Amino acid sequence: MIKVEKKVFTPNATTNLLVESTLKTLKKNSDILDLGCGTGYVGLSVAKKTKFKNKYFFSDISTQAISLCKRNAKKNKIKIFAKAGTMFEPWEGEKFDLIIESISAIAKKVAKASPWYKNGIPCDCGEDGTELVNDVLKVTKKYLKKNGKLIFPIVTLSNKKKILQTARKYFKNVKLLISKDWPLPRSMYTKRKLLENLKKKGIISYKTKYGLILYSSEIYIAY
Amino acid sequence: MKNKISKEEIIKIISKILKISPKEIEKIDNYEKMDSWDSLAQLDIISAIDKKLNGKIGKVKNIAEIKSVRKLISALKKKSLIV
Repeated sequence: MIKVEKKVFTPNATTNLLVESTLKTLKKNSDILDLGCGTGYVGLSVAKKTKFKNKYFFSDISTQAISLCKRNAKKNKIKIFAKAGTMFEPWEGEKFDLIIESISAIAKKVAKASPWYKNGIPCDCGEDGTELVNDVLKVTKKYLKKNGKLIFPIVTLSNKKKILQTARKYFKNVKLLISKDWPLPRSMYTKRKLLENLKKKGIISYKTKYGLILYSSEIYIAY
Repeated sequence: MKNKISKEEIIKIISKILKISPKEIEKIDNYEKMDSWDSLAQLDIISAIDKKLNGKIGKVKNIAEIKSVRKLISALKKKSLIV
């Protein structure tokens, strides 16, 4: 059981896809970093479900998230190393077999209109949602062991093209693992004009089907 | 039977997705009053019915606005999509 708190990002459907992808990717005992861990849901779920004896490392910009993550680990009797800090700052000089990146990447105006980033939950990832994730992609290799891999999500409510361009610039292989469509929360339908404008500008992408607005979560692996 | 669906099949689909017995589904009728209903479940229900109808569900306008099993069946009936 993973406890959630108002001021820490609540695991969502994309989070579950990250867990699924990680479990499929793991082939041996590994040192795993859950970067932007929030409640710790991804890493802790992997720890509970995998047969491998991995070492788990967690970090998040929010000290509140790290405190909650530690409590969740204790509750689930999972040994972890968790530190608060920006991006890779807590892990200087460390290397991992697998890094799961789950930091925010939603276009600023969409995040503001969404129910996901309330109560001071940070989502400072720029107008097109790519700032943080692109910064991570640029430096991740430095923190990966030889043959190490990065698993990262792209939610199409950010500039997918730009994120993929950065990923392909810094990694030889970037492959799609899973893709799933989700209906946009009803509360966001009042912001339809805003969404249409952002789509026209190529900042976000979505489709409409059965009268519903559908966005996608895509999970990629890079190495 | 192609491009048509029966009332029983619709209730079976909804029951499977919402994990509620067919009896309860008929009794409650309104999806939004069912605890397991959310927008993702709604998408799964519409997609599963559309699959059975070979993509004909688009004939029903505002399908996503319908929140009642009875109203859904009635709307499909009007478009001759019910067996």
